[in-house]
Amino acid sequence: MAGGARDVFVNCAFDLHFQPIFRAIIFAVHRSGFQPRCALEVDDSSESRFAKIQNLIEECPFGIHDLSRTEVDGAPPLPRFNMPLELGLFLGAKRFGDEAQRKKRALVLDIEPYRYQRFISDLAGQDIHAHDGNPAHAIEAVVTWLRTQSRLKSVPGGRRVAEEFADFQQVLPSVLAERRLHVEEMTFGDFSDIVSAYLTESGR
Amino acid sequence: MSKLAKTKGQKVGGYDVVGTMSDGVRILRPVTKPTHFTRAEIRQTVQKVLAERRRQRELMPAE
Repeated sequence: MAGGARDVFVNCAFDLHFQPIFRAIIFAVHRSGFQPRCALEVDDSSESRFAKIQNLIEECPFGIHDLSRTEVDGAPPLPRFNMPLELGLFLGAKRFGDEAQRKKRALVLDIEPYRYQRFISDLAGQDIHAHDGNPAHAIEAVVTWLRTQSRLKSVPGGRRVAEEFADFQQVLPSVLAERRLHVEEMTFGDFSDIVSAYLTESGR
Repeated sequence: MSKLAKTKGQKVGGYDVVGTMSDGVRILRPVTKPTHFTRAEIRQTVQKVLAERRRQRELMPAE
C-alpha cells in the first residue's frame, strides 16, 4: 500500500454523530483531485489499529485533522484523545522524518475557534480553522487549503463544492436504496466509490 | 455534460483517473474497493439515479 503525492490522511472521528462532517471532507478531497486515506480503509485484523495509522501517516504528504470530537465521554468523563494523538504523530513525522516527511502539510479543523487551546495549548499560534459543525464550512476550509497547497487553479471554490455536496446528499439515498443498502451499512470504500462515480457521471 | 470519457483509464502520477470534471479537475480512483458492490454496479446505479432525476425534472412544469 504505497502512498502518492496526492494522498490525504483524514484524521477524524468515525462515529454516527460525526458522519456529516466526515463525508463532507471525503467529498471535498475527491472533488479537489486528491486521494482521501483513513484508518477505515484497512480491513486486516492482524494489524493493530495504531500500526495502520502509522503507515497511513507515513504514506500521506497531506493531513486533515479534525479535533472537533475531542470531548469528554463516559463515567468518569474523560476526553477522547485519538485525534490529537494522530495529529501529534503527523507533526512529529514532519519534524523528525526524512526529507519526504518534512514536506508534510497539515490542516487542523475544530468546531469553534480557540477551543483547542483548552486541551492542546501548545498548538496556540497555529492557524486552526473552525467549521461550527457545518459540513459546508468544513468543505470550504478543505477545498481552499488543498487548492493553495497544490496550486491547482482548476480546483473550484469551496462554496461551489459545498453546493455540489448538497446535491450529492440528495442523490445518495436513492443510490443506496437501489443497492438495498442502509446508510449505516455503507463502508468507507462504498462511500468513496459512490462519490467518485457521482462526480464523473453528474456532468459538472 | 460529463467529460469523464476523455480521461477515463488514464494514469497520472501513479493514480488511476476515473474522469475529468468540466473545470479540469481529475477525479482519482479510490484506493479502497467498495465492500457491498462492484465499481461497475455503483457506476450503473449512479447513472440510473441521475437519469431518473433528469427525467423527473423534465416532466416538471416550467416556472
